[in-house]
Amino acid sequence: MRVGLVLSTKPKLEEILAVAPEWQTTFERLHQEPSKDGKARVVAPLELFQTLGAKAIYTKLKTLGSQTDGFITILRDFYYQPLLAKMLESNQNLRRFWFQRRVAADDQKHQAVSLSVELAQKLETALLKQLKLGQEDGFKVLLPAYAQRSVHNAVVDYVRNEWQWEKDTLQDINLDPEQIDPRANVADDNKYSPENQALSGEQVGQLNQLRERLAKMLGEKGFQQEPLIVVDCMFGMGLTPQSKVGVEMTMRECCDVLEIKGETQARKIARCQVLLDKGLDMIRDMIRSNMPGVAISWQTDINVNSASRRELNHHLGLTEGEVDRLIVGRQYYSMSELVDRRVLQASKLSEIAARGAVAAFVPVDLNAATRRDLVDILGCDKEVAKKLVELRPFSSLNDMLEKKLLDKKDLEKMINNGAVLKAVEKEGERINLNTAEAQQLRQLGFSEDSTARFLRARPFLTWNELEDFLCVDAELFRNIREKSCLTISPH
Amino acid sequence: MSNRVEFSPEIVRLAQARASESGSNLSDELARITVEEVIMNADPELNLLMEPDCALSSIDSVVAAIGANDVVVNSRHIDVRALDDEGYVSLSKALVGTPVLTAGTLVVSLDGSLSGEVVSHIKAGTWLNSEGRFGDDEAVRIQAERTSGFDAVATISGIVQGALNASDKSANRTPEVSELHQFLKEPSSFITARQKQLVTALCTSSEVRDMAREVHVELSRGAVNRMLRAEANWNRRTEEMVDKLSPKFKSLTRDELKKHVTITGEELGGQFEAPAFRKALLKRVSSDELSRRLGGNAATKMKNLYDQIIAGKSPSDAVKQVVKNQVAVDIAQSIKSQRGRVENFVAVTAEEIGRAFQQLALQPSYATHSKQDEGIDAINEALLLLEAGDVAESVKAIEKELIEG
Repeated sequence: MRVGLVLSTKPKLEEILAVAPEWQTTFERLHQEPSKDGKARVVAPLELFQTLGAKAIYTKLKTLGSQTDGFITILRDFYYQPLLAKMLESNQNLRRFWFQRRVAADDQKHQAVSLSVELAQKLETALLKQLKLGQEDGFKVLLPAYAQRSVHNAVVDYVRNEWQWEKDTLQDINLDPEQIDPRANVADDNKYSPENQALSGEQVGQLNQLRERLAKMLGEKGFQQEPLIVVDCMFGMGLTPQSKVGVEMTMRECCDVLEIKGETQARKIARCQVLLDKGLDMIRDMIRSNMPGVAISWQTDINVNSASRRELNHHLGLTEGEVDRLIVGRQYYSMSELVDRRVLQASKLSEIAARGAVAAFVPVDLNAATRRDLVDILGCDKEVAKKLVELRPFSSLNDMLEKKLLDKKDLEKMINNGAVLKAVEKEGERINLNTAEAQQLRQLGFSEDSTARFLRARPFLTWNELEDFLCVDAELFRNIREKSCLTISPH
Repeated sequence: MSNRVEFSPEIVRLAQARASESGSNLSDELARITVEEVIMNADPELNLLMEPDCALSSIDSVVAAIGANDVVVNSRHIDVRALDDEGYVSLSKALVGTPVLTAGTLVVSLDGSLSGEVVSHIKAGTWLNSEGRFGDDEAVRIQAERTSGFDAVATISGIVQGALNASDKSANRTPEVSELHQFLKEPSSFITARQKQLVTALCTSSEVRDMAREVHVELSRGAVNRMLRAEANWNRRTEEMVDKLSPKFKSLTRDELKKHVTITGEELGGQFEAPAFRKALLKRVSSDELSRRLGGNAATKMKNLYDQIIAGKSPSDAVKQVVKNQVAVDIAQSIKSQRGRVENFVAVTAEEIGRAFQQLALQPSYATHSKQDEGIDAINEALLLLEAGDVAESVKAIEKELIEG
């Protein structure tokens, strides 16, 4: 509605009423209705059109003759566009999509208006077609429910296209789309874990505290034990004998290991889900009561050591100059280093921390890193980075010296900036589901349909998400899990 | 008009992300998407207009608190629930008897994440009649059967054509911000009757809904999940690091090593490959190891030698620079190799010297040119230094392993 009011102008209304003087009565009725704030009532063209209804507008259009095109333009700009913008702004799928990508509220509004303009043009074309064909039920394209459906379909298409575009270009992560994100493999020793992530010192402190408290809860009579054991197993925390360190169990595995009772597998899983939810709530309550302030660290985070220029600029609000200084000075072990090393002024630190900035050192694998990360994280010279990518894999750091790619001093500098060298993948290693080709997926046992769906839906971050999405039988899922891995993804 | 809807994979993923973040039930999310799609596909002439901003399901804090899962069509709230594997649907008692349930519940049967089908409608009265069978802190759960020939669009049209109920009087008493926050944070701290009033206020007042939108879900289920995953991950990394350290720092227990790793992580983050982490951890561990092996005072003395080895000198060269009696160093080396792995420093015995003499064929010259006490002191000193050298060598090996994993 706000957009409609912005676009409404008195002359435009006069223009509408000049074409259709019989609508004057409706306009005056609306005009005389009391406004909420008691001030003079401003009637927007959208409001007038909505009150008149689709049939009346369509009937009028059919009688306009040479004025039809001009009137359709008015309808496009003062009926369709504001109506669609309003619907797009409140569309939940679009909101979620933008929220997950941290699109600022103003940008969301701007993009909604932009989409509404495009969509209004399409509906204008559809309306013209109906008029041309002389269809009696052509008024349907003017119905709000028709616009609603168009918005819904357009959003589904928009999300699909944007998602695909992100995957195709990976512009926020890689300069080289064929390469995998180095953080997928090197932020953690176990590259098959989907939960790879760099942890800041503050976060590690909280995790140490969390572990201590969870260990206390397990074994304390005041706490129900079963839900906590389920959480332990599902997350692979290794606090109880049933749980294996670093191995995240699926719901089915958890049911088997803990011998959860139930007449059918579905009942067992339902029971396991209830226990998991209960356990998570117990832990959430414990964190709230005993670890105040923790929530902020785990809502969102943008690591200043690995964030792209776009993230630093758009999401953290750093100026171009600050971004340049930050990248040159990488890497940082704590946020306070940004001030100590004069990258930012102290006053800006709390501002970017509130936007989710953290400083966690990121190891960069020379055998897998993108050129962008070699340059932007390790501070490698662009030409050297290019050669390094061409000459790798390297079996050892000495190998790099022998190939005269770098001298010892440069190599030491890169190691100090976080360079590591991980073993090159051997044949027969697990397939990364987040980057696998369709054929590889089929070989793993994916059906043709599930392959197509999976390719559109990935990346996946956890096995449980994947299990919920695929809904395949237990044996097939076990096979998939044994032969594949999930690496961290850009989104 | 079909009641069945195929899900777009992208929309399922958005629903998954939301369920994981807010702690809502994925099945209910998909059920609501099914109903939304059915409404979108209905004949536009039916004028079924959705008002997502009015739906309680659009407010994360409300979803997290009471599991609201409604769609609002032409100003009517319609609750939506997924049929579980046992043929039941359930919802929070706080919703029963409120405007969220006035139009009843549309029941959706899901085929995994592939498709959903609206299969029946439960009237508000059924929920009200069942409510008494469940305790205040329990969800109301009732059996729902697939209605043969069920027409979802006709049912929804029937609902929107019915009279719009007047707002409940309780809505006139707008909750205060703090009360609403408390309700959304911990609904169980209110009696069920008050919970229902607050839900009614949320349904009927856009101001109250706006207040609820401002309530940030403090420590959402998603954030707890992230923390627990990170905890499991950090613990695994710690265990793996302890696996690497323990064979080389035998004087320290696994728990002691783990403590060193966790404390270093708190100072420098959780990445072992980070040079500052690597150096700080190994310094901490080796210093503790030296103190255990050699005793506190001796460890301090050995620091110079340790630093030389870390800087690249071989242990025997470094030791020979410190101990003037070169033969004592050779003897100490021989004794050390015979001892194998002894965890703490032990002074040399006459027997060990004897065996070393035999091995090195040194007895005549050493016996003739050294006073016995001086010789033993020199050998003991060399042994101490070599122990320190061992620790330094271990540190170097681990550093290399961490960089070239």
